Amino acid sequence: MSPALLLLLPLLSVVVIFFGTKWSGTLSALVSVASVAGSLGVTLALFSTDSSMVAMNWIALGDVLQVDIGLRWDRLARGMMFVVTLVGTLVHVFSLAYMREDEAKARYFGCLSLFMFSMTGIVLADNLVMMFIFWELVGVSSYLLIGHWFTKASAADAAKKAFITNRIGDFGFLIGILMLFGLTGTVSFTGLENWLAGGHAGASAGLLTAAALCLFCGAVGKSAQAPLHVWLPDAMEGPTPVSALIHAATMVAAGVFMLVRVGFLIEASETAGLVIAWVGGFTALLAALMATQQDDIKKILAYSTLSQLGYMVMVVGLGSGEAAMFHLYTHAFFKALLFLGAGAIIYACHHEQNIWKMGGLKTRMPITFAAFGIGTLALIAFPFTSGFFSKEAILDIALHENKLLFLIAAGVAFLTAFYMSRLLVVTFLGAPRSEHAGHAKEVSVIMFVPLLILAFLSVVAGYKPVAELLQAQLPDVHWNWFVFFVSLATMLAGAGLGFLRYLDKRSEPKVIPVLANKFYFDEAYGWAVRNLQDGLAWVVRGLDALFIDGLAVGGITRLTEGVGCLFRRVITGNLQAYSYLFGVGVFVLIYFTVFLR
Amino acid sequence: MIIRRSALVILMCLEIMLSAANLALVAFSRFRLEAGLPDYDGQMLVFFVITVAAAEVAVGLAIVVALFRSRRTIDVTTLTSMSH
Amino acid sequence: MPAYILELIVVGLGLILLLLESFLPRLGAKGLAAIGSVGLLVVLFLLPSVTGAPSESTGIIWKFYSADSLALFYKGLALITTILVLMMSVVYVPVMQRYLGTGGGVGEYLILPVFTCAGLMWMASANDLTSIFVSLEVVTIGFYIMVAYMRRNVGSLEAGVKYLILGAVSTGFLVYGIAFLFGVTGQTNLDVISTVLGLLEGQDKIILFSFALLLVAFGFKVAAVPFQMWVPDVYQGAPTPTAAFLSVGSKAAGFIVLSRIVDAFLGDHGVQTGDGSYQDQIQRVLLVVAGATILFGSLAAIPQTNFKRLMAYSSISHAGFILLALACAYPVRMDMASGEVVAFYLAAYLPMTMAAFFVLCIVRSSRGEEEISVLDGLGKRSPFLAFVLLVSVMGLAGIPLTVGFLGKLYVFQAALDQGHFVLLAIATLGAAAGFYYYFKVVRSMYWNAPSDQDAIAVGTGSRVLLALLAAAIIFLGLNQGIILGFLR
Repeated sequence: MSPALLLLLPLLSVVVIFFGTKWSGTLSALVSVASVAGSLGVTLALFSTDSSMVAMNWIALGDVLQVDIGLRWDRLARGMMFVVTLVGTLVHVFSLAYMREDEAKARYFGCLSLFMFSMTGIVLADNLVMMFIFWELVGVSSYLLIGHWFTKASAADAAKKAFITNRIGDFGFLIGILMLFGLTGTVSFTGLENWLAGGHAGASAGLLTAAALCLFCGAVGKSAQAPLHVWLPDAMEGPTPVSALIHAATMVAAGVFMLVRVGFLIEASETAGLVIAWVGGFTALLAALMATQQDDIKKILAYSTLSQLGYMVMVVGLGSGEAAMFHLYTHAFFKALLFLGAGAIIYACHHEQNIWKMGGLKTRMPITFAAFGIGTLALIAFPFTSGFFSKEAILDIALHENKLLFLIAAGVAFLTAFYMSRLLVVTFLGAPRSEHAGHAKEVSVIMFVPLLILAFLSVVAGYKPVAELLQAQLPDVHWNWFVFFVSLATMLAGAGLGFLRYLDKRSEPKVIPVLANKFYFDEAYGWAVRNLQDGLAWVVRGLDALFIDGLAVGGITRLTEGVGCLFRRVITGNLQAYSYLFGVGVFVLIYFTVFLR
Repeated sequence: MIIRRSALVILMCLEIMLSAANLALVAFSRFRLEAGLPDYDGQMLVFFVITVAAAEVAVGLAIVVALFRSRRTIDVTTLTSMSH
Repeated sequence: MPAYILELIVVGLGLILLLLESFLPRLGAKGLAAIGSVGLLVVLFLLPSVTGAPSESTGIIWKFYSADSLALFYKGLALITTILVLMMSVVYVPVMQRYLGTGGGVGEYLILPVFTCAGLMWMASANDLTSIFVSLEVVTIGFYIMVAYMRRNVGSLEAGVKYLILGAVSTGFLVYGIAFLFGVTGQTNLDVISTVLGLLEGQDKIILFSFALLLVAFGFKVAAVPFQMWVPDVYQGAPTPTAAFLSVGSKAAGFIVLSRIVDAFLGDHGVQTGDGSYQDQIQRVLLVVAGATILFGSLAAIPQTNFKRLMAYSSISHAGFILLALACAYPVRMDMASGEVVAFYLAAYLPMTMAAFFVLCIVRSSRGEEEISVLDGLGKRSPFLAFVLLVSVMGLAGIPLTVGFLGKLYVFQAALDQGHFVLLAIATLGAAAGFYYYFKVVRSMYWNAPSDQDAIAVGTGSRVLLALLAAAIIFLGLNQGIILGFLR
């Protein structure tokens, strides 16, 4: 069995669904679930092997350029693949129930399979070009899935926003790839690593930093770091299982994964690392602040995702890819759990997403409450859940590397505990604040089984035996009582404050406009885009009128028209004009060839 | 040739062009004497050209006839239906 | 088995088809096309087993005929193209019958491609001025008939007359060129001419003159500026399968002969050195022609609204790219001769163009026009056709992961190797313009609302062929080794 199977299975599913079973939603769903379960099986079967293979040479131009289509199956890929396929399988199963009444079920599952295919490609890619191609493909499938309910204007807009924002980041990514290729002549990870190990000939430190930062641009887009974070909250317009899989657990983590893949580059450049760390830390703080004032259950979780991704990026920048991957794994489990839990709540409350219209769900949906509660505990790093271990590692590294970032990280931990307890209290405790919430019933077994599995994983994934399965090398962290107490204190303080403030409240006690409006990022971008665009459009229109219409198109049409007119006057008729032109051409060519040397 | 309107006359002019080229070929091969004899490669080529020209003109005439049948004229200046 | 047997088999096949058509009229268009395609397929499978020239060249035939790997490759291209054209013609028959009137059969239209194919195959092997001339005319005369075949259709007739007259003029220049080359060297075999040219001194002007005349003739064949003016009209007027055949078969054959002639002129001169020799001048002329062709084709394609005219201009611009590869005689760092780059580009061009024309044929036979707007909403009416056309225009535009990308990449790399930066800039501009006008097709298929809602019926045979073509565009784009493997 070879890792190529992991790529083939979802691809096969896409082909079968779009060319075969499109007429039947149920059949398509089954095909899709079977393919992702198969991928999980293959991943498990290959778990103890280690290989890299070159499937074929894609481009080979002498000694100029070599791009292979090859797969790299190492510990990093394996761990990531396990998370992707496991969460993928659970989300697929959950979707069976969640999307049962959807009209375009076949398209939904087809797109999910397409996503699984492209995500697998990113994880297995052994060179930057291939990664970039799959990177774009996940962008496409994310676009399709966010816009799944495209008849709703907000969904279509959100899909477009996500797509465009990501293109900005990808542009930097592409430039980074080209720079690295220009510097080294290779795009494969192994090749780049060897080049760096060999003393990176021909590249100054500045160039290296620039290249690393360009690659980071790609991660900024995909992992929704500030200032390109604006697309992720809007992406919550997509179906909730999609939000769980793509916009919480896997795709948005692809940016972090990519940074870890090229971690050797970041290590080589101190400046790049510092910039990355600060961007991450800044995003974590910003997003946590914004999360405290949202009313939409999915948006709260989205901002929380942003903030956790900020943690990961920060710690990559601080030089510990292991800690980032550790948090990525645990986060994938508990955030998918939270999203699926939110999905169950939304489903039970007839697609109500405003937390102030929920309440009292604890008694009506006890299993969901239990699972959601475990997810929350993991997210706020309650001792001895998985999130606790990974966050501990991050805080420890921040403490050693950069005191200021440690303070920010601790602050974020406090905020996280605060907004999550707010979410939990408002949604589950108190009395129902709307009719839908009052009639909510526990969801079906297909929906809560994935929840329970994820809840189990959210607890155990942090313990050493499990963590070691996923990761060769755990972050090099020693038990640090100071960090432990800081973490515990912030968590308790945040959670306590949240409970006290929101218990039995019927609406937000105090609205802080700047936070509720997400620091006016969207407004600022809207303003900038509008004005810039108007200006740019004016310039472009001028250029267009001058060059394209005036010279290129207009020029040519006018030229042919002019010549045509001329000929029509001299000799009427087309064919004669052609023979005339032919003759002129002959003379010009002969003159040019023979006499113009 | 380029000032003629009739497709038939244009075809004749094309034949004249080919004949001129043939003449050049014959002249060149006469010009290169090998052991007192012309280089027959060129003259052989002339026969090929004549044969092919005959075939070409046969097809050409057929097309001109078809043109005449459908439009009642062989004036090439009327062939302007194509858009630009 | 000597290679020229294959041409004889193809001619024999054509004759058998003629007999069948007259004595077994029940066979119909489908039967003829099926027998023809099977016959050509058999020849295609025989292709790898043929032998080249014997070491001590005995037969006179080897003076006129060569069977190197490049020749065999082009023979393969010709055969595949012809098979596809036959299939396409079957789909197109209902359209043609509308313009044939009573008593007009379509049998010859299905048999002529077979004879033309024999001519194309012979052109691939021709290495003597005589055989070049004869095989080229076999092809051209076949095309005259096929272009004008719809004899009640004004457009087809008009295209036929235009192609006939301009083609005959170019033939005239070909003979002039041959005459002068013969006059200079006294030889007709290209290999011998190459050696003789290397020994001549002080005759640069007359050598260049003969080259210019030959370039006129082949510039016409491959649709290079300034001899491209027939292309849009002829493509638009001719039956669609013929347009496809012209665009791929005729062009490929033109390029193999042109590259043999250029090779003969350049000898072992190699890269442009700037020493003012006539070899340098030839490369310069080729570069200029290539640049002008790319520029003209790409820019003039932008305002087109007729799909076949668009394809015509796009084929002009592709011809420019191929000429550019040809002009970069020996790319230094690529392990590839320019002949191979040319062959690769043409092999890449084949499935993309064929797929596009095939889809057009099918759409045309259900709707009576060929404007781009006829594709409106194709994504809804026939997702399959739309997908194939999408893959094909993606390939033509040169998007990565399609075979068209690799073709363009090689050309760019070759130009970069030789430091032709102006040409690179022009080629980039051309490629960028290509994105724009191909995107028009995509936009029409997926964004515009369909003007009529009926689904388009696609036969099983066409479906399989189209799927194969689309798969080829992507698969060959993933693995360059396949085409190169055939090439070597």
